[in-house]
Amino acid sequence: MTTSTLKKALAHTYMTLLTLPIIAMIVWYFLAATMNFTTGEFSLDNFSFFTEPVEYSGIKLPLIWPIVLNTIVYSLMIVAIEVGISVPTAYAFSRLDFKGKGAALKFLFLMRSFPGITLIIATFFILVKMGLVNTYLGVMLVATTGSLPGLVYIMKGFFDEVPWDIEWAAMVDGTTRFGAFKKVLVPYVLSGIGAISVFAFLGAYGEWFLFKLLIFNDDMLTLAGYLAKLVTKENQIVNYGLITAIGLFYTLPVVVFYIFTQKMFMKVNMGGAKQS
Amino acid sequence: MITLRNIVKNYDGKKESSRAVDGLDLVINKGEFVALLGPSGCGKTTTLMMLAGLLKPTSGEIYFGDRLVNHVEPKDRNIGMVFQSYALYPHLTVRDNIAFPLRERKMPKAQAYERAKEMSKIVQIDHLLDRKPSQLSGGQQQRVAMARALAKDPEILLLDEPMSNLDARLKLDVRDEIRKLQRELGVTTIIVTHDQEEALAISDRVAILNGGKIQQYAPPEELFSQPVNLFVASFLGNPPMNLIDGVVQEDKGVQAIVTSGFEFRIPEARKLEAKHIGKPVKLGIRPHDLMLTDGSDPNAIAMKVDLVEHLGSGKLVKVMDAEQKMQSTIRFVTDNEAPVRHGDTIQMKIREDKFHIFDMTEDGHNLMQFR
Ligand SMILES: Nc1ncnc2c1ncn2[C@@H]1O[C@H](COP(=O)(O)OP(=O)(O)OP(=O)(O)O)[C@@H](O)[C@H]1O
Ligand SMILES: [Mg+2]
Repeated sequence: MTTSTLKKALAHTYMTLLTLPIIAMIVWYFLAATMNFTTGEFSLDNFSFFTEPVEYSGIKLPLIWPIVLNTIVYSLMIVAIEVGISVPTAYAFSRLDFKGKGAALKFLFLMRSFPGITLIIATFFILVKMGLVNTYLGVMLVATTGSLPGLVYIMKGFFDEVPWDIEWAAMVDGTTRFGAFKKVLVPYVLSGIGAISVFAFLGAYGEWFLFKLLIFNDDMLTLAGYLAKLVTKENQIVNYGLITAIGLFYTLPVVVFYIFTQKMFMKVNMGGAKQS
Repeated sequence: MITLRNIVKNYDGKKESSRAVDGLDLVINKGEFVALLGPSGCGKTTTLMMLAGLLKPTSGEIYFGDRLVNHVEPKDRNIGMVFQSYALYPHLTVRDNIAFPLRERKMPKAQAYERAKEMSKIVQIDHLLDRKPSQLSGGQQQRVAMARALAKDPEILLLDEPMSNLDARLKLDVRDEIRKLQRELGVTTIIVTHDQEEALAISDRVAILNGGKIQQYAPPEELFSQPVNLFVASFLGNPPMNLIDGVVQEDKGVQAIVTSGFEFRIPEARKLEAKHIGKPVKLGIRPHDLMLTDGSDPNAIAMKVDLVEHLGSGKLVKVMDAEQKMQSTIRFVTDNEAPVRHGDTIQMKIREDKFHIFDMTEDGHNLMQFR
């Protein structure tokens, strides 16, 4: 055996050993959802939540489909709002000169690293005063405020990469400043917009805390909040099979989405301008 | 006609220290090809950007014809521009890149594509129309940028170092093509470059800039034979002009420049005004304007050969005075046959009338009166 094959064998063993627990976890996850552990038989009992409202140990939750709809609407709206705000904001931070830009940027950075949770009592109080508790508007306001600084920062990085020449060329070629932004800069940073869309979507899709805090009607929940409801403290008996089943249903779209967007990123073409 | 009148540009509005262009006056005739030439940081790009309308002058006026364009937006100036980086739109095909300015003018798509095709034929890239810029070589990208700039039939073409990313061979070809194209289309063209050979080869007139000011604005041969000051003289030419420190002296009505190595008698016809006597000057002689002679020549200067370099077409000889009192060597060019070897003592003389005297008490202007 040569040293190189030995090395390879070692590396493979190492990799297998390291990934085994993860694979085991996934397998177990599927099993937990699709097996009756007392009888050891395959069963889809846990997936009855598709057809009827969930109810166990005194907890009653609404049927899942309206919740799915809530999730889709909420997530897409968050993506639209956050992308719609952060892209032009990032452009301004990257390209325009205005008074207080430096200070605003520092503040943005501070906000990005600020643990938002510490503000939650004040936030709640303000929302109560504004009558926005138990409304989607309230949740969205708090959620976007929390994630915008990060998204703007990432997006600014993408705009910083665009050579000035490209923007100037567009303006010489007959566009206004805004036209250059729309027709040249936005396509140029498309992969960045894709990236922050994914972040925004995942953030919204996984948002459970704000729903738990600010939404009192169970039929207004999204999937993440719904799942969180199943793991509440008050009832110690946790229906493991049910949670994994719903969890599986909850994760699957994200996995599909991830595979899909990854392909999209690969296709994005970033060339054509030689930087001097 | 383009007129720049007393243009000043400070990048940071009020601060004088941020001055990039300092009182520029320039007139460019219709159809003329003008180069802005100067060392790095002298304000060439800044001037071009002001012509494009991408920067606003701090003070001064820019006219296109009789129209004051200081506050006219770039899109309303009818200019084509090629950037040093080419600045092609990476998400668009070559066809769409060339058609972009036309589409911005609301030209119907079919017509714009037709015109893009025409332009691409002129610059010989019609087989690449469906490619993305990232799939092109540097030279091809350069052609696309040219086609895009010319597609809208601009009144003025601005080129910012359009050839600096090309290799030496391609540079020559592209240079000739640009010149040919410009002649055919008759478009007023301003090129920015720090390559003097390129500027001199391609343009009708060259403006030499330094420190945000125009030093001299003249046709290439005039810049070469009649530099107005020390900067222009030392900036132009390769190998560079010999500049030798000296003092003007007069003895019995005969003026001479006395340097630490030799004495140069100023011909009667070129006599300086009396106020220069006793003042420091620099004697400027191009390497091509020195030649070998023999000891019997009354103007001969004896020199010792320090170094001989072969240029291919001739020899570049570096000489010192025999006693090595001069600070710098003098360079001159001879043909390959000249018997010059290291260590030899030779006799050389300055070609009649081919010398310059720069006043070193002031700004280094040329004291020689031409014509
Ligand atoms: N955006 C800017 N902000 C502040 N100063 C600038 C800016 N751009 C250029 N300058 C300064 O203005 C001066 C002229 O710059 P410019 O780009 O016009 O030089 P250039 O002649 O084009 O040089 P090069 O040959 O290196 O391209 C330089 O001193 C430069 O540092
Ligand atoms: Mg420049």
